Amino acid sequence: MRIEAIHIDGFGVFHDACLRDLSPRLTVFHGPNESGKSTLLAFLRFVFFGFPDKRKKANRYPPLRAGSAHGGSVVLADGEERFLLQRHDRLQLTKPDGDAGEEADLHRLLGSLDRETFRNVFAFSLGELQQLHDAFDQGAIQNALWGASGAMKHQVLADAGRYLQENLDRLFKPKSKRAALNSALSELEDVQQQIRQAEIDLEAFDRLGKEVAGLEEDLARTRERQREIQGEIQRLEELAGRLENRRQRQLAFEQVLAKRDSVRGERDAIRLDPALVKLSAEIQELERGRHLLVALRREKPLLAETLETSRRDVALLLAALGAGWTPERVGAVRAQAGLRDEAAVQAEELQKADLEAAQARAAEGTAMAGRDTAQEQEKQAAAALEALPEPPPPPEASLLERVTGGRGDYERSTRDIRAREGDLRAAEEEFRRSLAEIDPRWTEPDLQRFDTSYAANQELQRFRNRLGEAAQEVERARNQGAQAQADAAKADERRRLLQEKLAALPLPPCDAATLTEWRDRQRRLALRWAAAPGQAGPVWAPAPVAVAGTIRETTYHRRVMPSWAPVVVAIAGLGAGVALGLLQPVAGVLLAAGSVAAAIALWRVGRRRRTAYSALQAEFASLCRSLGRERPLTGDSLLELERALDAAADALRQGQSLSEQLQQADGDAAAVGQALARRQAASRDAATELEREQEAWRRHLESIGLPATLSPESAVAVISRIELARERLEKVRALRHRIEAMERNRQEYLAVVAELLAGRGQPPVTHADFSVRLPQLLESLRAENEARARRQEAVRFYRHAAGQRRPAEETWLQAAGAHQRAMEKLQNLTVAWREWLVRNDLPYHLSPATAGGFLVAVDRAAELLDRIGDVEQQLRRSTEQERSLVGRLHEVLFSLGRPASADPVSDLDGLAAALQAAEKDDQNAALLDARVAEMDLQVGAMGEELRDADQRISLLRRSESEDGLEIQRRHEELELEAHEQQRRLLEGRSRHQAMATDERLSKLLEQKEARLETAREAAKQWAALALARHLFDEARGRYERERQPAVLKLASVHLRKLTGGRYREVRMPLDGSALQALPAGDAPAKTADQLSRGAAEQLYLALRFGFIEEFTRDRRSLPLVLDDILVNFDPERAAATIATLVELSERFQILYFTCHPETADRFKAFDSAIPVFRLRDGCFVSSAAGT
Amino acid sequence: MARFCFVHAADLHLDTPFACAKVDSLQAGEALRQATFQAWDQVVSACIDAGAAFLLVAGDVYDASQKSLRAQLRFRQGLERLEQQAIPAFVAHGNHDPLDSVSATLPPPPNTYVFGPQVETRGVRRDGRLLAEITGVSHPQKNESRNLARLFPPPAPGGEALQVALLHCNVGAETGHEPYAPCELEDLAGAGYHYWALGHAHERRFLSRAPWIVYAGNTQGRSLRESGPRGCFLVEADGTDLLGEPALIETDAVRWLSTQIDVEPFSTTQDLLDRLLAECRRLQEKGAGRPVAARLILDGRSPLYRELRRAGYAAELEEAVREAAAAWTPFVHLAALEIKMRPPLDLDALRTLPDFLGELLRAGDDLTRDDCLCVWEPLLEDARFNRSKLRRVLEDLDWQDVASQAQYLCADLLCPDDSA
Repeated sequence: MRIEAIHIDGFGVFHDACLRDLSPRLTVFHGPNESGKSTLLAFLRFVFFGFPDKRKKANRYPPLRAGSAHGGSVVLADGEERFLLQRHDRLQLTKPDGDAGEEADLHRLLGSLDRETFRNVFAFSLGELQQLHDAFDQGAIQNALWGASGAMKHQVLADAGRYLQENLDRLFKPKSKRAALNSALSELEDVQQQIRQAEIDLEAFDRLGKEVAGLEEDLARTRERQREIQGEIQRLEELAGRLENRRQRQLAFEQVLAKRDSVRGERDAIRLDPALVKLSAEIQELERGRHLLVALRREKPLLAETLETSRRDVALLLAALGAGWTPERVGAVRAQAGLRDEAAVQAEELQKADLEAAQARAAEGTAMAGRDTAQEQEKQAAAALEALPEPPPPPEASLLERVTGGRGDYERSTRDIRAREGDLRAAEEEFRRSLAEIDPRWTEPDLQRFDTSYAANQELQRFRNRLGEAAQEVERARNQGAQAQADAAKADERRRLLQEKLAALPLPPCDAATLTEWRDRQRRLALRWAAAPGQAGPVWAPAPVAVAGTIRETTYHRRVMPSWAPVVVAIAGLGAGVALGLLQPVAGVLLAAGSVAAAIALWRVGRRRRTAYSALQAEFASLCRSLGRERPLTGDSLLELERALDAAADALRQGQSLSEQLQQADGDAAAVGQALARRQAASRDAATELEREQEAWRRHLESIGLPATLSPESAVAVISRIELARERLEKVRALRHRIEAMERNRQEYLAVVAELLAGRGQPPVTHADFSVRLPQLLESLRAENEARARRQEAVRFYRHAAGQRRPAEETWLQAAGAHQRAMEKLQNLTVAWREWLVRNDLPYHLSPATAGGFLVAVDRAAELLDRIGDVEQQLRRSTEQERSLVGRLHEVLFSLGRPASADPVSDLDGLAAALQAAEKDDQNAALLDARVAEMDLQVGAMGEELRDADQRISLLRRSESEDGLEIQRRHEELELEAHEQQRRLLEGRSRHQAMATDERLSKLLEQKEARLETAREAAKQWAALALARHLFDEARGRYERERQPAVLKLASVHLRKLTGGRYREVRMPLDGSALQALPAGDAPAKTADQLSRGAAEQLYLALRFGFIEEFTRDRRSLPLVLDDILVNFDPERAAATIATLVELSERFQILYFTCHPETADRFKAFDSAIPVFRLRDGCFVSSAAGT
Repeated sequence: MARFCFVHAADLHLDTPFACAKVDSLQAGEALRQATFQAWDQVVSACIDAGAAFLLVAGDVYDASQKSLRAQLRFRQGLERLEQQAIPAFVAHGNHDPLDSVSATLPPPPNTYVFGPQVETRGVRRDGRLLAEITGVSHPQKNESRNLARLFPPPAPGGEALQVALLHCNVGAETGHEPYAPCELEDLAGAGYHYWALGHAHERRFLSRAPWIVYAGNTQGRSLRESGPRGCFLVEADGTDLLGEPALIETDAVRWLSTQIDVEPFSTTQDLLDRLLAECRRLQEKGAGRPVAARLILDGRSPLYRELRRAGYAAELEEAVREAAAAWTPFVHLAALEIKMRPPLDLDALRTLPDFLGELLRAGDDLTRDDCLCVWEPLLEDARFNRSKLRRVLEDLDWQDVASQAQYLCADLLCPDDSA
C-alpha cells in the first residue's frame, strides 16, 4: 500500500497544502529547519492513527493560520483500489466502492499495526532512531521480534526467569543460613547432635539403678544390725527383769517412730524445691511473658532481615553517591524540596544551551567539512574526469539482465540434469526390473491396461476367500474321511478279536438249560454218594453231611459188602451153635438160629446196597458220557465232574458275553461303514466344489490377463508388483519430463547468450564452452560497466563539486559565528551550575542530567536511614525485651540450678510445669510436715518417758549399765546411719524415676522427624523449580541458537550491507539483555552502547528494515517515512544506506525528509529519477518548480 | 482338644516419632508422642480381654539405635500387666532392635520369653496340658542376611500341640521393606508349622492359609505411607486346628488417613478452604473416634494454581486448616497438604506448538532420571551436612512427577492469562 496523494487542510505550518501523484517508490523532501518536515511526519502519523487526546500535553500541531480546519486527508493506493482517508476531529474513510469505513477497516488496511510500532519502525526521525534503544529496553520491539517467530513476550520470559531464581534462592542457596532448606538441614544437624548426647543416658540409668540396688542392700544390712542390737538391748532389759514396762513403752515409742519415719519418708519422697516455690511469683510473671517472648522471637529475624536489607541498600546508595557521603551528610542535604526543582530548571537551561552549542558545533563542523570537501572534491573531480577515457555504449539492459539472471538457473540445470539423468537411469532400471518380475513379456501398455482398481482388488479378494474356504472344506472332509476310515478299521479289528476269543473258548456240548439240569443231577449224585455208607462226603457237602460221612467212614466198610459175607456168617453161626449145643443145646440152637437170621439180614442189606450203587454208577456214567468223558464213580471223579461242570458253565457265560460283544461290534462296524461312506461322499463333493472354484479362478485370471497358474497369493503379489511398477513408471516419466524441461530452458538460455554475443560480433556459445565463455563475457561487460559508471560518476561529481564550493564557504562563516555565541552562553550557564552545586554542598562533578537522579538517591538514602533507625530502635526494643525476659528466665533457672537450653520457650514451659508440680508437692509436704511435727512432739514425750525409765533402770542396774550404754550408743549410730541411707535411697529412686520418664529424647526425635520432613518438602519444591529452571535455560539456549527469528536474519543481511560487511550479524538474547552486533571474524559481539553513534544507528536501522520486511511478508506493504536519518553516517555507509533504501523502495513506498541539500543531491546522484520536493513555508515545491 | 486363642502383634516401634512436620498444637503433639505406647497398651488389653493363652511379638519392638529408656519401661510395664494375668509373652527381636543393640538393663518379667540368636522352642501349658509350642529366633545383629526360616527345625509329627513359628523376616522380594532375614514362602510353607507369626512388613497380610503365614502389620501407623487401621491379630485355635481367619483388633491411637481433592470446581481461596475443612471433618468421622493425622492432596486443574505457587500462600492455607482442625475433638492434625494441582492448561496441545513453550515442554519429555539427578546434583555439592539424607530424599522422589510439575510450572509462567 502506498500514499498517492496528501492534502493538509490545516496542521502546524501547513495550510491547504496538496501533493498529488506521489511516486510509488522513493521520494525525497528537502527543506531547511522549520520548513515542516517533522510536521509532515506527525501529520501522517496522526492521519493514520488519530490525534492525541486533547487532555494530554502532546503536541497536536494546531493550524498556525486561523480559519483552517485541523487535519487533512491522504489517498491510499492498494493495487488498483483507492481509499480516501480523512482525519479531522474524527475519521472518515471512503472505501474503493464508495462505502464509508470505520477505524476497524483502517486498522485492517494498516495490517493491524499499532501506533507505537508504526512510530518506532515505519515513521521515525533521527532522534527516534536513537530512541529505539529505549523501545528495546521496554521490550515492546523485542516482544514483536520474538513473538513474530513464536517465542514468548520478553516481559513474560524475564518474569518467569526471575520467579524461578527467586524461589530457588528462597529454598536453597549455597552458604545461606536463611534459605528454607539450608535452615532445615542446619537445624537437623543440631538435633542429631543432641540426640547423640541424649542416647548416652541409658548407661547412666543402669549405673543409677545399680546404685539404688546397692543402697537398698546397705539399708537392709543396717536394719539387720539394728535388729541385732535391739535384740541385745532387749536381752539386757529382760536380764534386768524390770524392763517389761519399759519395753512396752519402747515398743509404743518405736511404733510411733516407725510411723513418723514412714510419714517422714513420704515427706522426703516429695522432692521439694523451695527455691522453685520461692520463685513462683517470678515464674508466673515469666509465664505471662511467654506469648510476648514467642512473638519477639518470631518478629526478630524479620526485623533483622529488614535491617540487613536496608543497611545493604543504604551502603549501596552511599557508595553510589560517592566518597565522602556519610549518613550525616545525607541527613544534612535531604529535605530540601526546592533543590530538585532548582536543579531541574538549571538542568533544563543547561541542556538547552548544550543542545544549541552542540547543534552549532555540528553545524560549524559540517559547514567546515563541507567547505573543505567541496574544494578538495572539485580538484579531485577535475583530475578524475581527465583520467577516464570514454567507454563503449552499454548492451540492452533487458538482454543483459536475462543473461545474468538466467546464469544460475542454467548452471543449476546443468548440474541437475546430470543428477536427474542418473536418477532416470536408475528409475528405468528399477521399472524394467519391476516389469520383468511381473511377466518378462509385459510392456508399458500391458501395465497400463491392467486393472488395479479397488473393485478389481475386491473381486480378487472374493476369489481368494472362496478358494481358501473351498480348500479348507476339502481338507476338512478329507480329515473326517480319514477319521471314519480309521474308526472302521478299529471296528473290524475288534470284531476279529472277539471272534478269535469266542473260537478259543472250550464251550460244552449243551446249552445253558441243559447244563443247569446236568448240574442238578451231579449235585443229586453227590448227595446220594455222600449218603451212601462208607463214602466220604464231597468237598462241597454241607458240614453236617461231611461230618456224618466221616463218622460212617470210621464205622462202616468203605466198600460194598461182599456177597459171601452172609454165608460165612450163617456157617460160622451154625458151627458155633453146634459147638455150643454140645454144651448147651438151647444156647446152641439159639446161636445157630440167630446166625441164620443174621446171615439172612446181611444178605438183604447187601442186595439193597448193590442195587443202589449200581443205579448210582449208571447215573454217573450217563452224566460222564454227556460230558464226553469216562470215569469210574469215586468221590474224586464226582468232584472232578463238578469242576468240569463249573468250567463248562463259566465257558458258557463267557461265550454268551463274547457273543453279545461281537453282536455289538457288528452293529458298530455297520454304523462306521455308513459314516465312512457319507464322509467319502462329502469329500468328493468338496473336491468338486474346489475344482469348480479353481476353474472360475483360472477363468478370472485369464480375463484379467494374468497366467492361469497363479495362486491367489501369487496374484496379490503380482498386483503389488504391478502397483510398484506403475509407481516407478510414474517416477520415470516425471524424471523424463523434468529433464526435457531443463534441457529446453538451457537451450533458450544459450540462445539469449548467443544474441548478446552476436551483438558483440562473437560466435554463439555451446554447452561445451559455456563454462569458459560466459564468465569471460560477463567479466568484459562488468569492466565496461565499471568504466562507464566511473566516468559518469566523475562527471557528476565534478559538476556537483564545482557548484558546492562557494555556498559551502559562506555557510561555514555563518556557522562559526553561531557556534561561538552558543559556547559563550553555555560557559556562563555552566559556571552558574557549578556555583549552585558548591552552594548546596553537592558534588562538583554532578552534571545537570545526573543531578536529579543524584538528589533522588540522596532522598532515598535518607529515607532508608530513617527506616534503619526505626528498625534498629524496634530491634533494640525487641532484643531488650527478649533479653530481659530470657535474662529473668536464666536468673530463675540459675537460682534453681537448672541448665538453660537453647530454647527459652521450652525452658519456660518446663519451668511452669515444674512449678505446678512443686506447688502441689509443697501442699502435700506442708500437710506431712504438720503430721511429722505432731509425731515429733509425741516422740519427744515418749522419749522423755523412756529416758526417765532408763534413768531409773540405770540407777537400779548401774553395774550392768556399761554394756547397755555401749549398745545404746551403737544403736543410735545405726539409727543415724539407716536414716542417711534411706535418704540417699529415696534420692536415688527419685532420680531413677525421673530418668525413666524423661521425654527429652522423644522430643528430640520428634524434632528430627519434623526437620527432616521440612527438608524433604523443601527439597521436593526445590527439585521441581530446579528442573523448571533447567528446562527454561535449555529451551532458551536452543531457541537462541537454532531459531533466530527471521527478523534478525533479515536485519543481519541489512547490517552487513549498511556497514560494508564490518558487522555480520544482529543478535537479540532471549533473556532480555541488550541487542548486540557481531563483527566479522572472531571478534566478540558488541552492544549498542559499545558501538559508535553512527554504527549504533545503523544497527537499529538494520533491525527496523528486518522487522519491516518480516512484518509485511504476509501483509500489505506500508509506506516508510524517514526523517533525516543519515546525518551521523559516514559517506560510504550513507551511500550504502541510500542504495538499500532505493532497493527497498521497489517493495515499499519511502518518503525521505532531509534538511541537508547534499543528502537530497546524493539521492539524485544515485538515481536522477528519484523525485525531490522542497518544503517551503508549509508548501510542497517540486524540484522542477511545480507545487 | 482344647480351645484357646492367642494374639499376634509385630512392629511396635515404640517411641518412634511421627514423620510429619509442624506439630504446633500441644494436644496433637502429645497425642502423637503417646500413640505408639497407647497402641501397645491396646495390644495388652486385647490379650487380657480375650483371655489369650499367650502373646506373640514378632520383632521391631523399638527402633534400635534410638531405643529410648521410656520405650523400654513402657514395654516392660505392658508385659507386667500380662504377668499379673498369667499370660505368657514371647518376643523375637528384629532388624530394628537386634540383640546387640544398646539397651538398659531391664530384665523381662517371668512370663516373658525373649528368643535368643539360636532357634529355640518353648511350650505353653494350661491345666498341665501342652497347648502350643512356640519356636522362634531373634536377629543377633542389625544386618541379618541369613535365611533364618531355614534354621527352624521340623516339629515332631503327630503332636497334639499347635506348632507356632515366630520370626521377623522378609518373605519374597516385594514387601517394600529392607531384605533382612530373607526367605521364600516355600521355606515357611514346607516347614511343618501350623502358624507362622511374622513381623517386618508393616502392612498386614495373609501369605498363606494352609498353613497360616501371617504378617500382622504394625500396631500404629507412623507416617503417611502407613495409613488406615493398624492393629494385631487374635487367633482362635482348637488343638492344632485354627478356627477361621485371624481377626484384626484395631490398636492405633492416631489414624493416618489420606484423601484426594479435585480442585477444579473451586475458583476462590475461600471455597477451597471450606472444602479442605469439610474433608478434614470427613476424615475425622472415618477415624472412628480417634484423632486423625491427615494428608490432603490437591489435584486437578484450577486457576488457583497461580495463587498457590506464590511463596508462602500454600503454607498459609495449610496453617489455617491445621489450626482449625487441631481444635476439634478428636483433633485432626493436617500432616501434609500435598499440591499436585495443575494450571488449567492443555499441556498436550501446548507441547505440539512450534514455539518456545513447545520447545521447553518437549525438552521436558526427553528428561530421564539421570538427567534429573544431574540437575539436582549441585544441591548435594553445596549441602554441607546430611548429604546422604538429602541424596536419599532426591533419589526417592518420583522424578517423573517432579518433571511433570516443572513442565506445568513453566507452562503456567509462560502462558499469559488470556491463553489459558
